[in-house]
Amino acid sequence: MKVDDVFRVNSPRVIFENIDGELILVHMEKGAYYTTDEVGAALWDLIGSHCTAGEIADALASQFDASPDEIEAATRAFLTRLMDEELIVPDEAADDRATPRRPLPIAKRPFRAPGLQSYQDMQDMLALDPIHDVEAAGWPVPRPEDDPSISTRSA
Amino acid sequence: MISVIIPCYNGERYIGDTIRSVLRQRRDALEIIVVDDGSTDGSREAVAAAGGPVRYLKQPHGGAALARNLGVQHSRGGLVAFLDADDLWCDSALAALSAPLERDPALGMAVGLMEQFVSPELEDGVRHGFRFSPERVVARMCGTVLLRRSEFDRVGGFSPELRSGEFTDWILRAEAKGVRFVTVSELVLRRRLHLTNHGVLRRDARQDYLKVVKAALDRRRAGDAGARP
Repeated sequence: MKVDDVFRVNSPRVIFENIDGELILVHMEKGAYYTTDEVGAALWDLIGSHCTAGEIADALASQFDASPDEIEAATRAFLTRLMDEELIVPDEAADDRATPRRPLPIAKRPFRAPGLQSYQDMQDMLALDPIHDVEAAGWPVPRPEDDPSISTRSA
Repeated sequence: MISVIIPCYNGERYIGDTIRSVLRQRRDALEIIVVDDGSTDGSREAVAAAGGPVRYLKQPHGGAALARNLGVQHSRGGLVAFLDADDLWCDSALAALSAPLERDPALGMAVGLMEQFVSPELEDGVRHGFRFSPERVVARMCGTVLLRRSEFDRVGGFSPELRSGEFTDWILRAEAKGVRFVTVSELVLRRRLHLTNHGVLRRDARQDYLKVVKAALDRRRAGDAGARP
């Protein structure tokens, strides 16, 4: 992994949300779900803002109290784990991507290498979403009469 | 008696096949309740055309959870099954699922096997777009489970605020309540894949699975904490 590697969430297979302070991830195709901790959630947010691996480590170093080397190693390890689980995939660096905003250097929080808990016990229920390969062309848009809550949009 | 509850929202295309698959069950004492969830298509006519003794209820559009809950309220069976308005039961589904429940009163739920098929009328280009496993698998989902009504009442109804994952949520709540279930190694459900599957149409609703997972994790942690001395 290089410092300028950029990643993106493996959508639409992966869905995620921070609920009551806990980041929950579900890989709908594998039927696996995951939880992580405070550092992992902060790292996940940075992936979403198209940071490079190096920028992610820098941003974490400004928020958490540990040596830059320790944070960089932990960042690489966590990104590798997320790749192995197919929760993120490599992305092309966009030209217009914004440099991540650095939080003001207030008191840094204690650092612990982020962990990822993986659970398989709902596999039979979570992997039931029908998968249809029309993603490149766009997901089929329901006709308005199929669902009154969805308005017509052009292709 | 077994009550079969079929929620239906704009399901005119397939609900006739679904009802006929219930009527083919080798099983007496059956009650079929279709709950029309505010359909604007010809669902009502399709239900009537399918024939057989079917009770038809209609509610304003409120989602599958509310529709199933309404169906249960109007049902009389000691055993309850749910089936979606596009899927098909194998002819011996209810016989296979009811046998263990009738043998052992301590069991609350029986689960059978499911296989998926692409709806045959779809054009080739669409048909070949589906990626799915052709294997028969155990899947706790609408159409593969038969429940004891008393256990359904103990767990409570489906959560109407969930637009997706409400069946999964119910199963997880049942687990937390200690409902005992048994797996039957017989194919019971043939699940139809088509472009108007709920999961295909309402991709935004998939986010609700995250709420379901979070709630289950919180329940488990509370249970673990409570179990500690």
